[in-house]
Amino acid sequence: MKRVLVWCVRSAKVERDEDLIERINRGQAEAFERLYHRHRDWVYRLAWRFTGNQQDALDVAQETFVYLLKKFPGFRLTASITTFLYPVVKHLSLNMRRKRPAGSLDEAALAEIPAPDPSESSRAELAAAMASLSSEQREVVLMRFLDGMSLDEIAASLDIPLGTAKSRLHNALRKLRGDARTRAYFLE
Amino acid sequence: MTERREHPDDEMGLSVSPSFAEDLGAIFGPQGQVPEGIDRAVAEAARRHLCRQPRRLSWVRWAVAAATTAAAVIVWTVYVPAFRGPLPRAARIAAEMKRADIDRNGRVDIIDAFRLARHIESASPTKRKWDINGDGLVNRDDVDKVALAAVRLNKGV
Amino acid sequence: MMKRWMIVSLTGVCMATLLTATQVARAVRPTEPKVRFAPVHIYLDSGDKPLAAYQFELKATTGRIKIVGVEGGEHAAFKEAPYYDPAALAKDRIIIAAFNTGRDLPRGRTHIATVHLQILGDAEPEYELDLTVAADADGRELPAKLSLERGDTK
Repeated sequence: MKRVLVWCVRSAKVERDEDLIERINRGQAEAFERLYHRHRDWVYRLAWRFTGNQQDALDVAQETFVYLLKKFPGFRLTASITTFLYPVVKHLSLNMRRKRPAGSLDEAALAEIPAPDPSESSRAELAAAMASLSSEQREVVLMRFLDGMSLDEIAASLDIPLGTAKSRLHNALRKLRGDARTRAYFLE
Repeated sequence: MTERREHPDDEMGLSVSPSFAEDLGAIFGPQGQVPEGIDRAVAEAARRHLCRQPRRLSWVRWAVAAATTAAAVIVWTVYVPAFRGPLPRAARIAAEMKRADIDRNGRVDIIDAFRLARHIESASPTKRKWDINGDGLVNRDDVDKVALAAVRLNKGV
Repeated sequence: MMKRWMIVSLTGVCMATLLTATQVARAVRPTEPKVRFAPVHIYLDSGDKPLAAYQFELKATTGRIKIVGVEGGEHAAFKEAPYYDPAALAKDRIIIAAFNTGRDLPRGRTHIATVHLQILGDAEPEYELDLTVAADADGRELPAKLSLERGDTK
């Protein structure tokens, strides 16, 4: 493994999304690359959830960023970038899935999930419990805990009232807590 | 590497174990990563699209910005020290350490820098007092400043 | 004949004097201290918790050292050079810290940093390691164990 000796203080820079967007609007391609790398894995993970297929997910991820790129110059971020990108990923994934046999988006993703190792019983039970939720409830749980989105961001991304987002999440978590298979995930 | 988004505080009155998110990630996360070919394709598309755009340089904007900066520098270097006087070095260090104590636990350590970095990355509203280096922005430069305060051998005590 | 004998004798005396002087000079020249370089690899064991941030202090309690460089560890999360005070270079005490806000974090015993030292003299230095803080991905302190391994001296 190659190691590099450092003799001076590190000064790495991480800018906010708004700062990067400002620089992209000024034509700085390097700023777009930074934004891309910051959100690439999240977009890919989301696309995989919607398409249930690695190749389609990669295509959607690339198309999402090309779509974002074409918004510049003149793009203004009025919410978080993930709130902006969420419906884009969903829309592109839906288009991709129209080319495939019918089936709901996340049910297909669930079907693609490799069977958990029987020794990992808690994960297998969690997967089964998640499958028992409605697709809307499952989506908000994943947006909250996997994507780390706030309730405001979830509501804005799904274009639903905040109260609806809260209600879906609350009902989903209450159901999981009442489920013997997943009760252990909840702290007293 | 894509940075992890900050996990929000629970508002549902139901405290969830950290392993919940981990196991969800293992179940619902994709197998494999985005290949470098896609990274290169996006980078190339960005270069082609953005470098093509005409850059409108407003000389008036630049002139105003330059004049404002010059005025600020003059005021800061000439007038502010005249009112305040230069602080002794120990007092300067102590003041900096106080600002760098982001989590207000009475100690400046790497957790302060970590918390500030997480907050900036979550794009949440920032507080003026987190502008550690006084440049009018709260960004990674301030995070570095806090981290360097944490590892400083002479903490002014 | 006499003249030749005198020249030979004089040459012999000169050479003997020169030889003696050299040996005396060598005997009185102060021995230069032995200088060598050695890395010290620092490991942190966070158990089964993911490590997101750490800070520790390293100092020499015996022996003479100068800190000449600092390097990151092996895991991607801590591969970049950590933070340290440049004033520590050429001293015998240093505070080192790093953090990573990403998801790919190490668990268990992890090589977090390497400190490169210049060791003066023959005595093998002894070090004191003091863990200031280790934290998980939520910024919560977690119990961890710090240790070091000496690398090959050069």
